[in-house]
Amino acid sequence: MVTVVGAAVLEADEQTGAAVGARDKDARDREFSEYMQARQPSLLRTAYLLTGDQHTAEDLVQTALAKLYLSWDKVQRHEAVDGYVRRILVNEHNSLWRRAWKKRETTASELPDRPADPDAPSATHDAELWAFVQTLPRKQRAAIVLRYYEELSEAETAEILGVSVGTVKSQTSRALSAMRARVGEIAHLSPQEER
Amino acid sequence: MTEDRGLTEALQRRADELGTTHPLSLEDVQGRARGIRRRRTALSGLAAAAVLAVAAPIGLTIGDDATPDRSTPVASSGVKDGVLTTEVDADGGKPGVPYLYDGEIHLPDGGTVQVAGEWTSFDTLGEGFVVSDGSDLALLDVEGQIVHEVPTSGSTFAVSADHTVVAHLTERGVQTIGVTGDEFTVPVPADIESPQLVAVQGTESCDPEHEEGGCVFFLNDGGPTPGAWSLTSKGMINPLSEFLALSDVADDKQVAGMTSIDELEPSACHQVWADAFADGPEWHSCDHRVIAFSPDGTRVSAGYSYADGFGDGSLAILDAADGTVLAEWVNSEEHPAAATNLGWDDDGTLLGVVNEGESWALMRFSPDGGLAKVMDVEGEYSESSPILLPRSS
Repeated sequence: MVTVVGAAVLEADEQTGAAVGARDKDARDREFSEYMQARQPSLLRTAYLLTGDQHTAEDLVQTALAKLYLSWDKVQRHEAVDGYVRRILVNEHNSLWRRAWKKRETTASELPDRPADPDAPSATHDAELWAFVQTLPRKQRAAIVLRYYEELSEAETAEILGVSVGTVKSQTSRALSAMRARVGEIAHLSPQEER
Repeated sequence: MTEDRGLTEALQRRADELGTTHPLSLEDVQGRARGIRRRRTALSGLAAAAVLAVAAPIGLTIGDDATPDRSTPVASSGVKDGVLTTEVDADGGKPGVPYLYDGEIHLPDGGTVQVAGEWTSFDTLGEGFVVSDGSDLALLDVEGQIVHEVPTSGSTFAVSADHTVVAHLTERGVQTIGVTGDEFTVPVPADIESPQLVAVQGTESCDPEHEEGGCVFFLNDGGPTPGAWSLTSKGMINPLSEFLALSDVADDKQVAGMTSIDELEPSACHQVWADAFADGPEWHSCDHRVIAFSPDGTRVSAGYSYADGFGDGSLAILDAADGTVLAEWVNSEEHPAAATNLGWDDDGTLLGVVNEGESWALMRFSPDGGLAKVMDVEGEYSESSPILLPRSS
């Protein structure tokens, strides 16, 4: 009898545990969905600047969010979700180059192309700058995007790229020097002061 | 408008073209997450990525060992960028080391030796050869005939620098077979829960009673507590406590291995020491995964530190003394190539079996940045390398 009672209690505990586990997962997914909802457009824009291609950007963000999803509990505890996911974006972008031979998983939906307005005053300048940014080695491009688009400090950029502040300085300096040489309209650009 | 604001705003205008859409659903992300989890599981079974897999169970957290070690000199960045591809016209000439391809060992003099069986590892031993398929280890004579065959429990084996001793793992420990015919087995101490053999140093025989006897073995522990160890023929062990896993041990005592890992990415940092028992490392890199020293110990092959999946889409030759990148080849969307099997040729160039789309080729990579094709590989091969280069090369 004791065994039966014990088994019943154990079964009840397991059911309770399963219910709690399901609730935990639901809550976890809800939290993650909220984060996705809030940050997806921003992540897509950063990924677009990193990759230069809308569909690759979506693929990149899908992978970055998937990795974040797998580590959600752990990352949340560290209270550095945005930094963590940016780091994945950059690293995963590099890995896309490595693994480009693999058949890509495709995203569920597609964004329409929205080309820049050619009549806008800054269109030519932007197009020339954009063409240049896309020729940058990927690490330099990442440094430029994090420093000048995300407007992170050199230290924050270094943390995400996993390099020293000196490397960030040299990467951005090199990129901007090349930019000055190749894009006449932005010859006056200079690196931001360290914040 | 400040000068740097100009660049910032130009990038913002470009990024704003995407609008504020949400193309990804939770289901999309969960589906991709399942694929990543499967790939990570598969990764643990790939010998090429074993150095990452062994550290995964130890539960390293963000900001701990994942933080790159800044206390040692950092390998300098690449100085010569090339494209990893099979689509080159330059003739790489004949390899100066033998290789196993399509059931034949191809010798440097152009001769071939027929070999029966399907093998996954290959090297020269004395005047003959040694092969393994992960279940059996076989010694072959100069005509390719099996002269000795023993069961093996390790995924591969190690051959001494002078090619006179082969060591492999059995259920009883590290078994060694010398060209003298001596067989000797050293039990693996219980401290090393899941041994993986990396290298053996010795000559002719590992039996400590033999006149040339006595060997040192280098092992990784792929168990729950990863680590690297040295083990002598007399059973003395020493932990190489700085390393989570060794990549290679050169005959001149240089040691390379992984010292930290970011389990979430995954990526890792590697160090190179002049001597496994020296006071500290010569240099470290969190950009490159150090693979193997050249025969003269002056260079080291490396892949990109972000090791996930099959093969290396980035390949580099570094100066072993300070980690300077002498040359690097990276794949691209135009050339989706990956190197799957590497070995040093006797002239100091690196040989690599490269897959690009449906094609495979044996390529030669030079420290001056040169890339040339040794041969195209006929036939269809979906996953494993069609050419085996010597384990010790």
